[in-house]
Amino acid sequence: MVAEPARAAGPASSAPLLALDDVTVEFAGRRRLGRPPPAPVRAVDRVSLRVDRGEILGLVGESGCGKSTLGRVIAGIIEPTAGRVAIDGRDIASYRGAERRTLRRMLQMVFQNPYGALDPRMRVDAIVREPLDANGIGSPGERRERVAKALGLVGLGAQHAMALPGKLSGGQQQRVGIARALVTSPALLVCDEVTSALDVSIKMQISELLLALHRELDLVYVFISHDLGVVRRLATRIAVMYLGQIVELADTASFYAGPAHPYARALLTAVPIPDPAAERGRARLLITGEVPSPSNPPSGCRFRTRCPFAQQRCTDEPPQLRQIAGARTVACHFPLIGADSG
Amino acid sequence: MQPARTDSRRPDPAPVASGYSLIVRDLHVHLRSRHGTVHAVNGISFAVKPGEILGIVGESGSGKSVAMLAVMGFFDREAARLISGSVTVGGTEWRELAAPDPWSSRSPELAIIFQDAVSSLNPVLTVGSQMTDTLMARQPKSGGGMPRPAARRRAAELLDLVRIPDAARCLDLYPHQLSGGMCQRVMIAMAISADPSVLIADEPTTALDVTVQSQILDVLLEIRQRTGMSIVMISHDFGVIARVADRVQVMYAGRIVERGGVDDIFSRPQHPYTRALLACSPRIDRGEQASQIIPGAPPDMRLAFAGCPFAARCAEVMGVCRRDEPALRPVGSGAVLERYAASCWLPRIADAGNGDGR
Repeated sequence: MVAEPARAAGPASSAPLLALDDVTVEFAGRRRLGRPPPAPVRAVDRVSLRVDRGEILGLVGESGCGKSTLGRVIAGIIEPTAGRVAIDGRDIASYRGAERRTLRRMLQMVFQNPYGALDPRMRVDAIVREPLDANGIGSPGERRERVAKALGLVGLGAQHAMALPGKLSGGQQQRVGIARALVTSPALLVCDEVTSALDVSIKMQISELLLALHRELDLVYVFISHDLGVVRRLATRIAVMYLGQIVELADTASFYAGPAHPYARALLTAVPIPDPAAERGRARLLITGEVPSPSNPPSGCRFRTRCPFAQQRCTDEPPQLRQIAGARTVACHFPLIGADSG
Repeated sequence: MQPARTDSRRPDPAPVASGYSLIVRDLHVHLRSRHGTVHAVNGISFAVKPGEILGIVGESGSGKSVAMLAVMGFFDREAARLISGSVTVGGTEWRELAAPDPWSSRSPELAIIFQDAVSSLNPVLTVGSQMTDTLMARQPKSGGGMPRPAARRRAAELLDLVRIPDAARCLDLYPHQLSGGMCQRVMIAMAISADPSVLIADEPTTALDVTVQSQILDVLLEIRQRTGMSIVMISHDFGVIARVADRVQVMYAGRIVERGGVDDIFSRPQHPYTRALLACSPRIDRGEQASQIIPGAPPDMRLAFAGCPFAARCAEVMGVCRRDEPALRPVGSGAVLERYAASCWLPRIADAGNGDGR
């Protein structure tokens, strides 16, 4: 039996729990007979990011921006083409064999479609126990105990443990998905659109459950979502992605008070508010057109083709992420707030 | 099976006069399923005025989509165990909502667009040929179809209307060459090509990104502005409803539990379900909002239950709620189908319905 993946095992406690340095992920395009090989699609392009203990990082952006791919890199499901992912200051590529399995238990993932993520022919208790079986954690008695505890944490009881996933509601299925992720006592949970398939009333039940688990278990989340309302409720910090890059990083309060990057501003103002009076008086930053292809991104700033404020410099020179005001970092030559001389 | 009109049931007093582009009276839809009959829609009545956007909001399984599919005449006797009620559109009342020949039960005044625009389009035909086929086959108000060149010109105009850049080029593209947002624009263009008086939009932006959603909502608002078309907007998103609707009805368990003007519903919701749903809708404009949670889940619509369908989850439940089902009662004055109304036994609602209201 392998020892517990003690979080204290990490060397320097000053190192962030998760650090990404210049992480890039490329996917080869589909080859077709008689045609030149297509350019690889760069889904994630030189992303650097730190997530500390106690944080919930909201990773937001629209379809195809690379947020799910980045989540999979963080969870260790896919390996980056280039760059470095470190947990507690240690590069995860340096973990081998048994050590690597131990690492895997620290990093777990919950998926969007709860039903699709659960084997329809396995009972709930077996689904939740599977990570323990696969990793050889604990004796059969200990495994039973851990499964019961994980189910208890997500608000499911013994009557649910014997059920097949198909007999459960969408919200209950998502709770099973969370219990399965919790059973190995992870330090970091990557939640990929976990509330997106759920109805409003169930969405809030799951959000509140995640918040409670964050407090009780000292769990860190990378919470990937396109739902900026739910993200506001959960996240302590927000990272906005566009075409594979992070364009703005800010603490939740400053972000929702007004994003500095034009894309982030457009994204936030596009979300309708359930208040007709507020909607009528709302100033929107409208953007037109569609996201360009990630296999052939624009030169300079990737958002310039849709940006109402784009100038020549945006075509010539890609903006770097830089700190502008407070804990706010933005990749824009002409940010909407805190614009000291670029 | 007879198209059952249960006379014992007292429908909402229905408006006799016109002045509405769509009137639905006492609509019931019970669907067959492998696990028993689903009582999807249970006696709803409502009306839509010309040029009005009626928002229908509710969670999955509330019956909002099924009701509008039945209004469109999309169910046949195979799928529907019972489908009753009437739909009045363009001055004609349709009582056979599940006729053997579906075309005879569909009014040309009604059109519908769906959530998944990409799969609603034919993948092997160009946008242009799908649109011209429709125009050539049916142009009801001018009687008969158009010749192809005219249809093609009209198709390009329609794509312009939904703000597709370079409409003429788009006609020669296949659906897979378009983004989800563009496909939805094409769907809207096709839906309005027969110049219907009511467009039913069933979660038209749910599958889209927010910036694209915003553009599509603007397109719908603009079409309403330019053509005076009524729109029935079905959505689970209170934000979308707040942005576009003039009036709102909230559905739960196949019933309308509350309806009224958009400002009333959002600023003075009466029904506990509407209040709870609004309180737990995640909002970008509020930080530490009170985290109210609606416990439990909606009722299983295959099972019979007594009383108010929301009783089991309601924070203000009383004894009577578990015994008797509250009717949708108009509160205040005005035309019956437009008046502020809610179905709840709470005194603040039930008593207001008896007096003159507000």
